[in-house]
Amino acid sequence: MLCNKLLNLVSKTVQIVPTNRIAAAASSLSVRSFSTPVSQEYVVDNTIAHKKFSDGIIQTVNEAVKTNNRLFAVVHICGKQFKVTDNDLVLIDGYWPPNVGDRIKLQKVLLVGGKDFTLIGRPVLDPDTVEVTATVVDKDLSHTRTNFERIKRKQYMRINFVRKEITMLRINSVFITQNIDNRKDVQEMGRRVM
Amino acid sequence: MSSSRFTPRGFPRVPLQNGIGRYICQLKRVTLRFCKSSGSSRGIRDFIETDLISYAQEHPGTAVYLKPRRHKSPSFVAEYLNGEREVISCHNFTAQEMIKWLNLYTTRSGIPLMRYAKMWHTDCPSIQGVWSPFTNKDPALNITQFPSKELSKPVWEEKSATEELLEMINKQKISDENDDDTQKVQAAQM
Repeated sequence: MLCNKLLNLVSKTVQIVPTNRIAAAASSLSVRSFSTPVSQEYVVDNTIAHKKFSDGIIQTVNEAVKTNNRLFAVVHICGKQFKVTDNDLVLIDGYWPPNVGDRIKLQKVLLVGGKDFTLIGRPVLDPDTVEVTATVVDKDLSHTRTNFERIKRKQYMRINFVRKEITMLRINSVFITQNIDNRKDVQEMGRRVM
Repeated sequence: MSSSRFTPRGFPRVPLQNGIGRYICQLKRVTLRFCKSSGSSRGIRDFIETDLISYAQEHPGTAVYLKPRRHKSPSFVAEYLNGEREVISCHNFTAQEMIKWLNLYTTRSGIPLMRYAKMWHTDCPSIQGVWSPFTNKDPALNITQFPSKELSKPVWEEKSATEELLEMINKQKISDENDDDTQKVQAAQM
């Protein structure tokens, strides 16, 4: 439904007229072109229609957020991306400073979705709008992994036994805290200002 | 050697839904067993002298017991809320090593060591519904009679050389006709 609307909009804004139709009446000379057929585009100024269309979508999403009870998010933690919802467990491999019992706000949220809408960040969503909180539940060492390396014909063999740190995170909540179109002119992301 | 073959494989879990409301330290009791005289217990004795009180203050949820025993190798026993019990030897440990290992066993959840099959666990695997090849497809497919001629065609068929030639000839014919028409019109105008 939404897709169809979009397609309609696109077809309205750009009218593609193939040149051979224009040229057919004009020239009797059949010139062979070896490149891709050139088409001429007439771009119609449709900013008002665009604005109306996007405003409608934003309004429907805002309403959907109010009625929705469970959201999911794609978060970027320690170099990996996880799809999380409330009460999920996420394991982080390797050294990671947060300690047991710490409550963390995950700020790199790449995507948030509900039952019938999805917000996609470019690349991350506004940290004021989306709130994903987590608790560190468990810090442990992994089982003993064997790192074995060998170079053939070079009399080289090494065997190492490694136990990496493993941190378990409990996702407490995924929320959209305000209207999605409520954005500042200057965005702040941690120490960065965008 | 290859411990991954013998450690059981499992999915990540946490006892008693820990962390949903608040976090609770799962270590309920720690017993430090050491000798008062032997050299191998020296590190653990140092630890008891310097850091044990601060450790006990930082972790009010765990009970700390000291158990001196003559001429035996030092160790500590960690007991968890889920009933698991682990004995860790601290033979010839320094005080720093004691801190390190004791901290590790306090932050653990007490579930026995396992190989994690996944780094993620959820009770709600899908919110927008599981994708299938038919999601977001035209519902007209539901009432199509199979085998259908339209759908049996290849998605992209390339034109053969003959077809292309025929097309070019047709095009030329049309343009010739156009030329004739224009000539006729011009003649009529003349």
